[in-house]
Amino acid sequence: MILLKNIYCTDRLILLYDNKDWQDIINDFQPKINFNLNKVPYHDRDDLEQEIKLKIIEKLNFLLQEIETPGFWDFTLIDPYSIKKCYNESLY
Amino acid sequence: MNEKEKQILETFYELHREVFENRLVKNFLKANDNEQLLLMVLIKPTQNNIEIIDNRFKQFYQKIRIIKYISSLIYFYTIDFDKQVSKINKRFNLTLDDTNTVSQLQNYSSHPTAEEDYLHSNLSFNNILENNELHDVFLQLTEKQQKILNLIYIMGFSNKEVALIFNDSAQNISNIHRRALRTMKRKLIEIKKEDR
Repeated sequence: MILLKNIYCTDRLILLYDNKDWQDIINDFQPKINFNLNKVPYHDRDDLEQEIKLKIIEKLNFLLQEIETPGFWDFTLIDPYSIKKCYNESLY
Repeated sequence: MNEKEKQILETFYELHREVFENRLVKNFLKANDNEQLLLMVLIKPTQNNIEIIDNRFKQFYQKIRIIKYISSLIYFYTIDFDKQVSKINKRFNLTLDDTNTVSQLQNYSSHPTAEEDYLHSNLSFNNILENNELHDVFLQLTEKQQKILNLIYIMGFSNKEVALIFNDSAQNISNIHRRALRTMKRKLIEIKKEDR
């Protein structure tokens, strides 16, 4: 078993996939992979499965470093500091 | 969560209705105790509480973005791979008539053919079908019909090739194939009618 955090020691990895190993993450996608395998001829399926899994591992590194998302308040465009005010008006 | 707390949340949702109808936000609030955290912010909007929910949401969103990215990766990579393989097959035809290849082929005779491969593997609709009703209907077919459907759809064999395996004529295989599909369709319609 290879823990992800032994390979990429980023803070984000520990946050997102704490103590998971490669197999766990790939297993999450196994049904999707199986579904897509049926689209190629029978004798190419093993090759494709292996290629996809390699690609996932390769891309995960990039994803963990590059993906940026807005926080809750940026996404919802709600100003948290105005909440108190609006509650005073609506409830109390 | 007591009545008053529920009321606070509901008024807040009502105030920002568009935001809370968003699927991402909805699912985020459903997960773990995120709704509780939001409530904490509403009651006590301290810097700390605001940051906790902000970070939780970031992680949640990042995970979803990664899942989305990888599932489209799988989808498009399969298409690419299929294109590549068929391109290679087109350019480099198997030259079976070549004298060199014939002698090489004899060395490979112990290697299983696709047909033998199939007979030894347990790949069949039986363990692929996810829809329960379809699966039941499939099992009701005769053994020969099941085998033929497997060969045609999973292995991608033509009628002629299937006919060779069964020592039968291609027309007969085609008939059995069509009859099997028709039976399955009829039974599925019956099941749907019973459900109503």
